[in-house]
Amino acid sequence: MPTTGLANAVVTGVVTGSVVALGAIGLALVYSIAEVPNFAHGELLMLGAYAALFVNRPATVPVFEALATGQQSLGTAGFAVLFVLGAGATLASISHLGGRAALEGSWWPRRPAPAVGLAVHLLAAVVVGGLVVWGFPSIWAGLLLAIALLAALAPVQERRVFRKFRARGASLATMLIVALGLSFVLRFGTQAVYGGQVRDYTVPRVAHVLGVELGLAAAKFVDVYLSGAGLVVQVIDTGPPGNPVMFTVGYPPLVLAVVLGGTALVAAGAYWWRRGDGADFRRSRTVGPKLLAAVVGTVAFVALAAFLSGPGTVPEAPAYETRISLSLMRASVIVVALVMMASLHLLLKETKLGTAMRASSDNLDLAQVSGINTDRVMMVSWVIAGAFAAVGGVMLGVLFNQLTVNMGFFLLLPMFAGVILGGLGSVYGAILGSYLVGLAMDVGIFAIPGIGATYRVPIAFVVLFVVLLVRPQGITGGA
Amino acid sequence: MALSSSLVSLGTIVGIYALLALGLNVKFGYTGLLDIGHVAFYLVGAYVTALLVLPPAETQQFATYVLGLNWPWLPAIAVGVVAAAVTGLLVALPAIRLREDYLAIVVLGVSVILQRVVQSEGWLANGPGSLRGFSLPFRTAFPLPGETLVSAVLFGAVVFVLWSVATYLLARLVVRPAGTVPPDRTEVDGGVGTGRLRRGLVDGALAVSTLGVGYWAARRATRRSEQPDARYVLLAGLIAGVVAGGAAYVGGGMADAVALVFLGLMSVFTWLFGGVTVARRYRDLSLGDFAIALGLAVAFVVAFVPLVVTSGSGQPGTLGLAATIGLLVVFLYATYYFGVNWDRLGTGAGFVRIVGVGAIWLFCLRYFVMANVTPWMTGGLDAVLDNTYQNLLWLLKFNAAGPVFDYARFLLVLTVASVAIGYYVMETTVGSPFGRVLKAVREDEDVAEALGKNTFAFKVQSMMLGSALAGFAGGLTVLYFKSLVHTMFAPRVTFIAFLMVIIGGAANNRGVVLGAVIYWAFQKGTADIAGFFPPAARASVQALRLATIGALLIIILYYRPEGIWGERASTDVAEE
Repeated sequence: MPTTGLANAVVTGVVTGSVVALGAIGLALVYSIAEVPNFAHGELLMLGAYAALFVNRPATVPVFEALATGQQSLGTAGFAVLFVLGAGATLASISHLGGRAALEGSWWPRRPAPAVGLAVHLLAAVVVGGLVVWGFPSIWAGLLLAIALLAALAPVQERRVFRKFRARGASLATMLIVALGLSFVLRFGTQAVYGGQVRDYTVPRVAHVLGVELGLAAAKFVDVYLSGAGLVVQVIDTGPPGNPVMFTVGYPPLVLAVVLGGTALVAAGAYWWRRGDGADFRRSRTVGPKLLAAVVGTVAFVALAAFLSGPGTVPEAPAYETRISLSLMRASVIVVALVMMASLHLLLKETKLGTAMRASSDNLDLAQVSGINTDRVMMVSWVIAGAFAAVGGVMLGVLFNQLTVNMGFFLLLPMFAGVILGGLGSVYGAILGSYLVGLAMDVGIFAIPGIGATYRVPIAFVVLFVVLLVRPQGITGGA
Repeated sequence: MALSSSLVSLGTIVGIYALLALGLNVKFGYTGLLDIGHVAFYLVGAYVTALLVLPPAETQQFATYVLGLNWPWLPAIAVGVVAAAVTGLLVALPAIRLREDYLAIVVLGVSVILQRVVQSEGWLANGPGSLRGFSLPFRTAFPLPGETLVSAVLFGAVVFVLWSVATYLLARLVVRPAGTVPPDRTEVDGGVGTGRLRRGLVDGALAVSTLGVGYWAARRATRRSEQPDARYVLLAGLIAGVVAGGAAYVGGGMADAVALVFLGLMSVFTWLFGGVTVARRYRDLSLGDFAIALGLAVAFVVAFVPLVVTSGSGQPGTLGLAATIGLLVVFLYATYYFGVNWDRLGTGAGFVRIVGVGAIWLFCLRYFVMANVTPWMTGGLDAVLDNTYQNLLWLLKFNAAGPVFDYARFLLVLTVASVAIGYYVMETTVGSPFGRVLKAVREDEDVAEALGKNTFAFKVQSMMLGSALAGFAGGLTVLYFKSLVHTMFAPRVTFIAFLMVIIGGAANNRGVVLGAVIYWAFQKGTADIAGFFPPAARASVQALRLATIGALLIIILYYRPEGIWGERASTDVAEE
């Protein structure tokens, strides 16, 4: 029986890195565009996690629990409240983009008639509210509500607090202390209302998809054996009693070579094809060579591995064996993070707003001079930061299965480590840095003997420290 | 039990945090280093001291820790201070060159790591469990004054400290050098005659309450715009201390009288001194301003009447709770509104000053009026007089055997001495060329570099000095709390120290001490309030207090970033 090893630590690190990345993206956006080291960002994650409780576990939410008729059921009044929250938050977050004018569509690329803009926004709000109510009590509906609420709340931080200090020409140090104070207000304000007890989500353990029963929470053991006869992969389901084997596939050495070689070939081909016209290889595209190579390579790998797999048996004396423990829930965290990051990438590269954001993060004054509405850009970055923080918080709550008021602060250092590691002022750097930090945290715990899980954050910090000593501008930073 | 004992305990913790904040003031107020990991050095000082003082781990059940060398306290605290300074050096060397926000994150990370290490490593300091079992210094000699030589010496030492501090304060703030004239002759006191009489009475009272020695030495020690002459200050303390120690040793049976004479008079002095300084400081406020301040204090107290009235058997009625919360919200908003619009609505005096007077009124109300409510109800006028007498002579504890000086008050005096030492060190540092370079580095580091100062070395030294002070506070913490847990060293503590520095005024040592007083007064006041709430809600009230502190910090940074006392303009001129 193999035991979990380095590969498992790497996978866990990727999961952790995904959650850190979700927070770090918002942090990096705000840091580069609004120039605020938002020490209260961890609290945004915590608020997002607690907001999802409204849908998932209404009976644990103070005041709101009066409208709950059971652990996960609501009366009509409760549904009405949820609808209003969802719709109202959507409208509020749009209005942050420019007040009443924004609700009438002033932030659209092509300015529509006010009535049209208003109608579309109202429709969107109704759809969000409706989805929240319809999806009750699923955690996904809770996620949607959390996104809407945080997208409305995060810009308030900017409006009510940071903007006023910036208008007075406050120094970086002052902004930092103000952010610290804000984090205190948010954290202990939430504790005052919710109380200090630990909460958790009710996530279904099993889902029925297309007639197949999928175990969500139970971990799947992916055992990998390497021996003379090739590579054998066995997947065991720990949900049902007796740990039944889901399937076993084997790859003889030749097939393995074909799979790996084929992947490499296809990826390299995609890379060179995309990069082909060397004349404008500096042009930043939405799907650049590296990204295309990564995506195509992954697809090719999965396809080849699926088609070329043969039946396999577990070898008696494998040269190398390892086990990766992964549940569908944790895998979904990675998927959600990737989807969010892809959408952000699309926004940044394909839309005018995204271009404006990239310009503002480079040089705010120049962007303003060239006609970009930097106020709106700043608000958009806060809205996005709030949305990402909400997702990060809910994912964190799902992963660790407990919600405390300190969960945000717990993740603050890794988020800052990720942002600084990747280089301030670059969202992509923040993503890369966060994954590195997540990997460092889990692989470090695995690799260094004798230290327990409480040292994850210190390890992230040590990595940051070393990088700061060696290359203070981060990986992608620097002139 | 008189309220004075809780005042004593409050004073001790104020002193410890004042030391902590003084250390932060060096780093942040004077040098501009954003050290949000300040608690790390507090932790190092506390744990090193504790581990040295404890008996070996084998002698304790259920506790594992290293060292345990059974050292006496003074060397242990000294080593703790050095260890904290060394830690400051080690952190500063690689980190100081980073830019502001990176430095902040790095030191925050260091403090989190240290806290984690202490929490997780069970072999180091009992892991998540608390370290306890400290044998307190000189415990057996108490209560003072006793019959042994040790207790006489201790009594003398206590009197020495008290008299020195009193003389210093007199020299600094009240007494004028012989022959000088008060700064503004615009005091309207009904003619020179009554003014002089009043001044003479006040001076006479002050002289009597310091047994003449303090007053006489203060007149000798006071100098125009510098620190008072330290020799006279210490001389006064020495004379008083020797006399007291001698009296305690010789007059065995008259211990009560000795205690009463020395400590009772000193208690009276503190009230006199407080009154005189308040009157001097607020001399320009009109009677109307005082009335407004009194109104504020009374309104605050009245807001709690519904809660108190409806709490029948210890469980407050919901209606009373709601009424109190509503009244409090109204009160806070009204105060905020008045504060922001004071220029339009006010009487011309600064709003912050009136709030300050209001706070003093509140203290008087709480200490003298509200504290006598229960004695009045149980014992009538006699009990009230007795209680007030005990509260006035707060340096003494009145137990069945008569007035004595107990261990808690000894800790207070010890803390006062430590704060005095720390304050003196800070003031001399700041006034020295070293301090001037620090301020130059804070204002513009490039200019300081251009003028040839090695700013790196100065920053590292300032880090070490600030950390040493924090380590000192940590050593005292062990004495005060008598048990150490890792939760006492959360990043929250650094934040509280920042609050104290910012409220009182960065780069102003007196301001920092004031900030510590204000913070703990707020905590103590709201702790009393929390007691009225049902147990289930109590945790929420605690959390609300901390949230209020965060909000307070933001408000102060916005409306009054220089704090209450701001930075003292230094008029030192470099000599050629």
